[in-house]
Amino acid sequence: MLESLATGAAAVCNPLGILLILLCTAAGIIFGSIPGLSATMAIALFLPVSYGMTPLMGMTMLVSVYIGGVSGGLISAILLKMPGTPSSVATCFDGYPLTQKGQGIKALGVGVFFSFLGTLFSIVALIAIAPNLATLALKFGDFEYFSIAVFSLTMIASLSSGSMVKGLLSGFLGVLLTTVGMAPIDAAARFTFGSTQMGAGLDILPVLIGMFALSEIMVTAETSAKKDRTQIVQVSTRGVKGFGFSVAEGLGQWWNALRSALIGLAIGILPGLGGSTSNLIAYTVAKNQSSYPEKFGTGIIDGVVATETANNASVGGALIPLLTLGIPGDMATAMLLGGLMIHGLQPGPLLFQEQPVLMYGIFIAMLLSNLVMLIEEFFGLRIFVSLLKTPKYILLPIIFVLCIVGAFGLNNRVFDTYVVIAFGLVGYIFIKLHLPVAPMIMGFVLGETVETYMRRALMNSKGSWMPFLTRPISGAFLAIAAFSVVYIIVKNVRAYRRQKQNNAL
Amino acid sequence: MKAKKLLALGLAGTMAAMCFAGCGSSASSLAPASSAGSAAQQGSGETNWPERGISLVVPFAAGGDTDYYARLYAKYLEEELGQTVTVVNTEGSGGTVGAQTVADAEPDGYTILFYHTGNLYANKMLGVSELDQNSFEIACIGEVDDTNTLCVRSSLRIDNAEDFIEAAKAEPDKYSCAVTISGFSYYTLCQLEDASGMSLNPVDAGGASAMIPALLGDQVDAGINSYGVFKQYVEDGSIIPLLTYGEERSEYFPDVPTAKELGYDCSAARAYFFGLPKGTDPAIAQKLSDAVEKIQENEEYTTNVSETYCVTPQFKPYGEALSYMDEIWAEMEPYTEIMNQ
Amino acid sequence: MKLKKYEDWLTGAFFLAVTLVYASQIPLIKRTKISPVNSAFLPTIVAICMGALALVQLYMAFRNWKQAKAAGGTQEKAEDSPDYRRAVYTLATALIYVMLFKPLGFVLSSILYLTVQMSVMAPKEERRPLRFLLISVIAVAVIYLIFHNGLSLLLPGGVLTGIL
Repeated sequence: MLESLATGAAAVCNPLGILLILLCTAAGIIFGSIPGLSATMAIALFLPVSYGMTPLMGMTMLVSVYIGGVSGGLISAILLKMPGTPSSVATCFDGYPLTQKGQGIKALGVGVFFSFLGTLFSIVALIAIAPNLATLALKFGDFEYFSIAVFSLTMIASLSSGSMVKGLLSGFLGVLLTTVGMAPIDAAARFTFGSTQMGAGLDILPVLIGMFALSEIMVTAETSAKKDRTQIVQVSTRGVKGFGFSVAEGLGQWWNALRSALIGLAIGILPGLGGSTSNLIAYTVAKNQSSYPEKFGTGIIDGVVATETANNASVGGALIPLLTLGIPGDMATAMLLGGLMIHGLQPGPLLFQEQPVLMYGIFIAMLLSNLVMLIEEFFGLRIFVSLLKTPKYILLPIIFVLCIVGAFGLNNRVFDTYVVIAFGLVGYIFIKLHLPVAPMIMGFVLGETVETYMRRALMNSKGSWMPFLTRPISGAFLAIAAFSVVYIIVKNVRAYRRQKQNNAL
Repeated sequence: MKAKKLLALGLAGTMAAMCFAGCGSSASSLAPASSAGSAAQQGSGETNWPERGISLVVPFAAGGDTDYYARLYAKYLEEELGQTVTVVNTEGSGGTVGAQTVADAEPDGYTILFYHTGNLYANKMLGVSELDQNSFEIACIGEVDDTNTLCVRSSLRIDNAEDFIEAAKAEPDKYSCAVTISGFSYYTLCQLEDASGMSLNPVDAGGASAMIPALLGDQVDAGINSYGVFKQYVEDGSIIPLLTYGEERSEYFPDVPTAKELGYDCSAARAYFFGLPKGTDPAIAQKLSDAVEKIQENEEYTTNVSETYCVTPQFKPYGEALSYMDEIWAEMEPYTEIMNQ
Repeated sequence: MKLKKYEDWLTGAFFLAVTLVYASQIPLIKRTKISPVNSAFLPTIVAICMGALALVQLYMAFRNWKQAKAAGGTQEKAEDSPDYRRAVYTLATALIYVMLFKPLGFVLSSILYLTVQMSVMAPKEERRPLRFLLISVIAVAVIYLIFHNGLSLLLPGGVLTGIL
């Protein structure tokens, strides 16, 4: 294998290859960091450019954009509370509070460094044990996917800081929104109010842009007209060395990072789930397993480490089924698949044997791009922060225009831009009523998965619910889900009783 | 001071953008102002179209086979027509949203639909959409895919169609078959069940990329899709093709018998067509049709398609294309009731 | 407007309203028999759960209100009262922008939007519409060139089709 890696490296490390990696990773980071533009969109836009190149160079370009794009989302999530891509939603939860506390550089540094580690971990897994992991992934059928989605949904309960009822309401709203449009399987029209546009359902990107970006702009507008509030919170770069966090702090996160990387890798491998799911799940698991869960959401680096390691680990994870079985792991890899096919290559079990140089070349390109991402973001940290010196009233409207460009460019319809407006209002209402946003996003991301796989699985079992429990993997996840629900109920009941006792005293 | 900084940033940005624009598209930004009028009424059969960039709408997400064909065509059409052709993915409702968008678009020839009869008609049969071949000005047919194949997983230990159908008839609904319920593959399953009398348990798989792991992982017993989708797994033995829906055996996989050979009157083909909004100048449709015809004669193009998807490029020009689609509809329509059970 | 007092009530009411609208549409769903569980299954569950939770929320709001009354009223902190009008103007500006996006085209609608939005958000002293207009034109030009010409992300030409 080392020999193959060396051949691959030789193929990639020519002037054009290096130039592509440098430029495209940067382009990916920029796309990722602007809310409204995502890594998937960046790949879609660069796809035509890749046709004229050789397969290896084309793929080098696309994976660099992918890696840069997934990572770039953390920048706006941390500095502006607007996730740059759906993969960085949970980064806002602790990233932005850190910025508010004046520790923006630290948050960015942590995010960048652990993004690097996450991708590295998944690429190593990809190179070393991809075929084994792929075979394991095949054991996951519709039943297993359903159970995993249900298990993830039960974690919504732990994302509701404060009122459990509000959290659940928010979560159900998310699920409700996914049912709008054509139903999975039989394409029955649901909640479309007779409109073809509504028939296509709601896409996550415009919803996210509205909920986070537009609502944030509206909230800012409330106070930005006051004279002394025009700057975004000052982020001091003085006295901060390196990545902004100490070696001790970094080492203290080792278990959090490893666990999140595993979660990201696993979710990435499963076709149908990707970075947008893994970051939320990793964050919730980190919060549940931490000895100080109440601090999550107030601004601690644990939150940022969990999400950024996980979403970047999903990158390598999603490439495993693509390169070993020819099955895309998520939307972005589906486009990489298209990119390969246009060159007349079909990824799958045979491609490894027929085109080893190409395969290993892609691995090397990913490793290099990962490194380049680390370096570019490191040097870029201070540049990003200085961009914040632009007054809010100039910066935010321009960002919004970019958001609209992104929403429109998604499917080339004006409908998506109206979705942004509608969810801007919804997001604003959420902020004013102190409703937690995280459960809604989680419900939205997982709702369709839950329904689709439940129905498909039932078709397979001809209506019987037994296989959900009797199939080992599926049964295990459902058991854990049931257990955590019981645990949370017990915990809440105890807290409630204790509170009543205190009031009585 | 702040204004100066912003201005400098703006100028730098503009210069960077100019460089970008330079490496981007060529002729599209400098089209003459008359393009809006010239495309519409030119009864002489001559047209200046295209005078600016064209959108080729694919009603599915990027990465699938319709998208692949479209992008390949886009590449060659740019050379033929001399303007940029941008593939725009407008997905939703199994293709309906994208198709509807083009049906509602300006009939000026700059928005073209690339779609196939499989989903167009399946959606109509299921009542998802009212669109059919008469909702558009059909310019031509660029591809006909008649390679739909019924395959089974190798662990089933059945290697020919007769054995499988016998077994399925003996135990109805025992064997599961992965199809896209609101799509073309379900139609083909209904056809075969009707002709052979067997009954399989249909399981929705969503698309090719979900069908493959389902078969490889022994989650379902059979699956139906274009041969090209299964090709590499057939070659390494994990999936076994039983019969195909073409009129004759395909030159790419001659070992697979056709349904007709085996005595079942089934054949199914999908025609990939270029559609323009109703009311578009026929001269534009003709010009598009001619351009596509030329591409079909390009050997590079035909080898690419046949190697990747095992489909021989087929072409039906303007006029003939519409009647061909009518024929396909006549074949498919009778199954509407069966599909809606 | 002191929202905090009414938060719980409004939350309950909001979700109850959503549930009612949602539930009213459920009967319209076509029930096919192809899948053991039809397309109305999940929406029904969601409607029931959300409705129940909304009622629980209203009940809790009621109970808290009674407790607060019994305890002799709560202290309302004097907050920095936010200027809600600007938030509304922002939403309105964004909505009009989106409505004009296709007819006017990207370039014109964006320039218009940016200038207006910046003026809405800026404090009186720093409001310089002409400077905003200039910034808007440059920003829109850069964005248009990069995306439309460079990356082929087609943006509507609107009124300016054929000129640009």
